[in-house]
Amino acid sequence: MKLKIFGKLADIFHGNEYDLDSENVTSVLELKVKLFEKFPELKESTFLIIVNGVKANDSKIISIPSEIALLPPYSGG
Amino acid sequence: MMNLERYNRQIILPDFGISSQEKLLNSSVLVVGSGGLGCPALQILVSSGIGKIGIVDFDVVEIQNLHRQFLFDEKDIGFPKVIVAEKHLKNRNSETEIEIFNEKITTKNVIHLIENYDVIADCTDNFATRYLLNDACYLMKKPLVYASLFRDEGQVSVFNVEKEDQMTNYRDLFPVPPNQSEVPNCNEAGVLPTHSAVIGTFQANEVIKLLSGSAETLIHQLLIFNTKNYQSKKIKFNENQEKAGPKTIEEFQNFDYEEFCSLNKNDEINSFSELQSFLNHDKSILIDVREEDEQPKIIAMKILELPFGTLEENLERLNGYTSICFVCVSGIRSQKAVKLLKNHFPDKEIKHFKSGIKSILQ
Repeated sequence: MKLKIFGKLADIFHGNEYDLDSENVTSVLELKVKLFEKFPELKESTFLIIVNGVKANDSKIISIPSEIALLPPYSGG
Repeated sequence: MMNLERYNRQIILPDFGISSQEKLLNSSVLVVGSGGLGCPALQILVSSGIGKIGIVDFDVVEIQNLHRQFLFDEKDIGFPKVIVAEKHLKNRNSETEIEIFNEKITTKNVIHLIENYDVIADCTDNFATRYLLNDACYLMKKPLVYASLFRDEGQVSVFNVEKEDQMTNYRDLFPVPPNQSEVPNCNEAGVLPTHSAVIGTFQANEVIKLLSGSAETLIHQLLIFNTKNYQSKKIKFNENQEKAGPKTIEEFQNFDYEEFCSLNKNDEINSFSELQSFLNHDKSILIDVREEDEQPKIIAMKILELPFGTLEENLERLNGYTSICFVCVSGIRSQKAVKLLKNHFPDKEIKHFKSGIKSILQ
């Protein structure tokens, strides 16, 4: 499962893309659990999970293939 | 009388025409912040023939502004930005009325500032002002064109415009701000002049389309654009039924945005004995906002487990409590939970146990 990573989260993932093993990931909640396991520092980060171009809640079902993005807020101006 | 010659090159566009130009002439926009986004946005907006443009900023020109804030020259260093900007913009287009406000926007002055304008542009550079402006525009139902930057990436959206029976704003994306350390601004993160100019230009583009009615805008959508690799993405989002943020103007005017967007010592419980006395009555509760799988669990105390992401869906379960304390691993999520819940329950005593789960278990 390819993830697009935005903003400062790219520092955690060391890049703007990340290939996640999608086993047992059928919902946004399960995706979060997996991400938090791999990257504990994400638990303290603010970000949206975007599934196929739409902001998704935890209950959103993820079918394969899906386009997933992690998007934090920006403040600069 | 409209100057047809001056605006000829945009009037002859098939989707624009004289009617769109007339709409621009009869409309007004308030640009909040005249920095990296505000400067390019203002130059374009004033050139396009909008009738009235307001500028709010309390900063003076500094040397590190010059590389990306093209309204300012070397000789302007030390002078108030709005005064320099006004002079420059009047030279650019004497037909546009310019109004300047050399002040910081606050909960006390913002309602008055925005009420006389058709559209507001958020060109600010910090979360406290962004949430303040967002909430004011939401309460006043003012269209808000939003843009923000992080390094080579920018975000643009249009808030508070009804479409398909929905009206969305920044809180529908991010109900509460991140911690200050999480998201640096341009002063800390750095920015190229091309990038702030591109995103400021996109922002002006949304203002022009919105005011002229010449094209669709980014309503219920957030554009993310990367100037380094030219990748772009548009995401859709919906209105949250549970609205975070003040519900009335009065509530808004008493809301402390600086506190909301920073660490507040008064919300902290720092010792286990303090926590015990906080929880020592019937209507108090400790809430663990960690995810369900996070270990170890606390079992010896009266505690509710509500992961941070589920709090807003479970507000009803908290109605019966007058004192709520949140806990997580290191005090970051619990602090965010305090901010979120204070929006929904301004009358409850809401705190967090800053030193985290481990200090309870010890």
